[in-house]
Amino acid sequence: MSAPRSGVAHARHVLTENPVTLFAALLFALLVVLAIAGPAIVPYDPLASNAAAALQPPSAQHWFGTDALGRDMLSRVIVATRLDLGIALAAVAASFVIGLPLGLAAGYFGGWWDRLVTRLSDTIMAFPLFVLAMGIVAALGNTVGNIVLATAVINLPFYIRVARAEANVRRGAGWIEAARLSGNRDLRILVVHLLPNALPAAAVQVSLNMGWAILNAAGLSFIGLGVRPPEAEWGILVAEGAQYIVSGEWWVSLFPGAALMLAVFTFNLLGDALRDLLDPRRRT
Amino acid sequence: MNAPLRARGSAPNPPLLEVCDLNLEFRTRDGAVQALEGVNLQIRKGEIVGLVGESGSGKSVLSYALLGISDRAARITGGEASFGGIDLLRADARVLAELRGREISMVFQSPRTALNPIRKVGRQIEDVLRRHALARGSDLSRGLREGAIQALREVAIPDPERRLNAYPFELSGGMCQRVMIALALACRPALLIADEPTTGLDVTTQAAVMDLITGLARERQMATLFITHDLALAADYCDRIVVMHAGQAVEDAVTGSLFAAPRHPYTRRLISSTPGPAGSISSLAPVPGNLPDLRRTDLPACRFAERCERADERCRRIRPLLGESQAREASHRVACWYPDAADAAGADPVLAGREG
Amino acid sequence: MLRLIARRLIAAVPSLFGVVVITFILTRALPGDPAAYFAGGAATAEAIEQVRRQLGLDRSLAEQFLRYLGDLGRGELGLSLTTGQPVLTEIAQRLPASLEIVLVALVVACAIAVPLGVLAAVRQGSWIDQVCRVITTAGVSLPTFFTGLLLAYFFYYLLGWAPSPMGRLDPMFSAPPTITGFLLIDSLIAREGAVWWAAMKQLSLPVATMAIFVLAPIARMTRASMLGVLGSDFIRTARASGLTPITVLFAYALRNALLPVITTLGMVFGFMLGGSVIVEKVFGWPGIGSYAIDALTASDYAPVQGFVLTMGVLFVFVNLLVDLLYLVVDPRVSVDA
Repeated sequence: MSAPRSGVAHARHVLTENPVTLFAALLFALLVVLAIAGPAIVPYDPLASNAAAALQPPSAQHWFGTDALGRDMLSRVIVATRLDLGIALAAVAASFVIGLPLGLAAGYFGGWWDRLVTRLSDTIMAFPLFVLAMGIVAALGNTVGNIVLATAVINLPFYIRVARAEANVRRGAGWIEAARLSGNRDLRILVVHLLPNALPAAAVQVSLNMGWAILNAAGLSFIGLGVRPPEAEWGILVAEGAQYIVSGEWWVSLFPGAALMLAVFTFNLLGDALRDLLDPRRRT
Repeated sequence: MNAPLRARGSAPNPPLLEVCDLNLEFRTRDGAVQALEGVNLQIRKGEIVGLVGESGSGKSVLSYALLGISDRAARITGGEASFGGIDLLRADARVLAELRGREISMVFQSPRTALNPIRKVGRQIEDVLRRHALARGSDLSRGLREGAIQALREVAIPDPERRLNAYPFELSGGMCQRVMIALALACRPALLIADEPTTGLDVTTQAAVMDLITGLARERQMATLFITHDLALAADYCDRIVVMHAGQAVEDAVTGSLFAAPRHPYTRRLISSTPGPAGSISSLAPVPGNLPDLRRTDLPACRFAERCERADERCRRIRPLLGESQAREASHRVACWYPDAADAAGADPVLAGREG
Repeated sequence: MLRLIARRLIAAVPSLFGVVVITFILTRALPGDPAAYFAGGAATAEAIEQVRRQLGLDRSLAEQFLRYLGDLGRGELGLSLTTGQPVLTEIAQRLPASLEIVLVALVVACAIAVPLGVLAAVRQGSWIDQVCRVITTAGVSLPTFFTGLLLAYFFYYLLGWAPSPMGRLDPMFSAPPTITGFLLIDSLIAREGAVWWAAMKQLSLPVATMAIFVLAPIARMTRASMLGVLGSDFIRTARASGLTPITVLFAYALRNALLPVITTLGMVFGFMLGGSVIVEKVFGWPGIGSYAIDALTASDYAPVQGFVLTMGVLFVFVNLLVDLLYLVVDPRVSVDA
């Protein structure tokens, strides 16, 4: 049996072992670059309309064609990256920051605290999650901030569950008893001991959730919630092109939809790779 | 169903099952695991043979190979195995499927998990009967049901009509094992392979199950291969014992002879590490070392060489074959270049006193 | 057995309660002053106060909640501002349309995904296993609205096979008398074969979109479950008894493997309910999803709240049904745990 490799070597191994993983990592890098530098590198102003050039198929001047208002689709798809990734990241981060401590506390303290948190998680899961997101946005107001909030709420149960499971495992193993007996205060145990152990599983969850959060945000925008025109966001771009696809102008919806797919796919693949990387049982 | 057996010299009772020089390996990602090497085994009609050895010695692997239910990664790389004249390793899949459950049956350990958890036990027995078309009478379903009841009755399960409709989780461990035995014996096979049938059962139930199996075996003149790691149990119930070590068969003898005068150093060690009623814990001596890693390509020819105090260069390079010995008993074979003398003392007197 | 059923039923009550509490919170979280909203745009301060007292919005939250429960008990879900109709009636009218897509899609998805998962497990490593893997990975990444639009483009615009994605029935046909609300059933009852066929054609694209959406989780669960079962001890016993591969596959492996798949179906149904909203928008389907979307865009909140409540209650009941189904199908659960 070979000795366990160092972290970097293992990372490199995972990346090169499966070409798909490398591909996903590159795509991820591309997405990040576009999100950060997008507006600076686009060929046209994403908001500039040009009635004369409306609904033109992909060409040398407009690689992704133009929409009904003559705006360049390539530029719009690129700048949308920032909004989509931003919304998803904010939502997932919020879920993580709230859900993880809640779940850890539930698993650690047990008793009524556990019941309360589980009840909360179960109640959220009692709804079809997209519907709940719709309801939240409808109730709180049709803004991007509320899209983030709604997506964060419906993602909470995943983090609660992961953290609670980790804490329960440790609790069952008498681990926590030992820590308490050696004089550690509850908070210290939670933060210094339990949290780091829950992080790997939570990290995998984050990557998988990002993909799902993007889909959710796009779905909400597609039905008219959150992002308003003329903002560019992949979901709303697809919505704007929907009416034209049945009359043959396919490019208005296709490119933003493809971008969506690629982004979600990338995060799913990354999540799998992350699992391989961080799950110590899988290490060679 | 029984094809004519091969004539074998002047032996009055030719072997029902004959395994010659069987080699089997598993292909894994880390390389090939040489699970069986040069295994020789014969079982005659009506004989109860015990196959003993440590975990990982290849006992179960051998039985799966004989039945044709080995893991997908398994490859037979040499040797022969024949049953009643049929080549078990090369016969057509349909021929083998006919044999299984009908002429050769197997009983497994952990009976509760070895039975379908969501199917009534009666239905499971009927499935076997139906498969081998052994229902009597014109009304097939009635015939099957009667057959299943009869099978349960033969393994001394009380109230078989009611037990037909039971699920495995409703039965005790011992009862489940009886059901497994009923399943295996429903078609009156000529050979029964029992793979650790008593592991996990309490001592009283163990004895009951073993009595049941051997009783039925005697009654029906059924050949039995009894696989176990428990040497004492084998001593109590088997006519003959074959000792396996790391995929090699190292000693093959009538029970009394094996314990009176064990000839292979491994057997000797195994006997002195087995608790008997007259001995004490402190008199137990474990077998030194561990089973060699079977993935190695540099395994010694005699795989016990690294654990043996008298091994030399010949042991490492040339494999000793299971040859005939000049023992008092008709057949006491040992695969060793330096076996103990045929009448050597030092065996456990209590175990040696038991007859197979 | 009855006791177990009763226990499951009782366990559903807290979930229902949770659903109601959440929808109540959502109704009270409206932006601005709910009383002003209900009173209408041109109301005076006095009128608003009157509405406030009338609706009990000046009472404590606990009292409001009790009133809310009372309203729900009477089936009072409010009025739609845009249509003036009671929300409950409109939802009841439109629900069959949504359910029709979901149920037909569920059947189609299972018919494809279950055999696919089984084959992928039985022939591990073969091309079918690869296809299964691709579908399960890709399926999770596809946005529903994108699939729907692409399908409409290919099968309606390019190939002309599917009808125009505009509603449940081509305007050329008139709907059969409403008995169940499901066009497929009602047209059969009224013996109108042409209508049945027309309804089926209109259903094809929405159902395909929805089915593609859930192929992945079903196939993945079936494959995993089947692989687990195939490696188990009792399958080895079955093979050792000489049972034919067909018997082993169907009577022994499949039945055992499908049990966990049943529990997955509950979760899958939840995905479908959520996805149906989008599918209805893409195909102009007159279900409760599009009802809620239209109301949302018009800032008409009562229908949206009714919609969320309905979906929640529906989901709880579906999960309950799945639980009960599992109870019936798995004999091991009869033992009082």
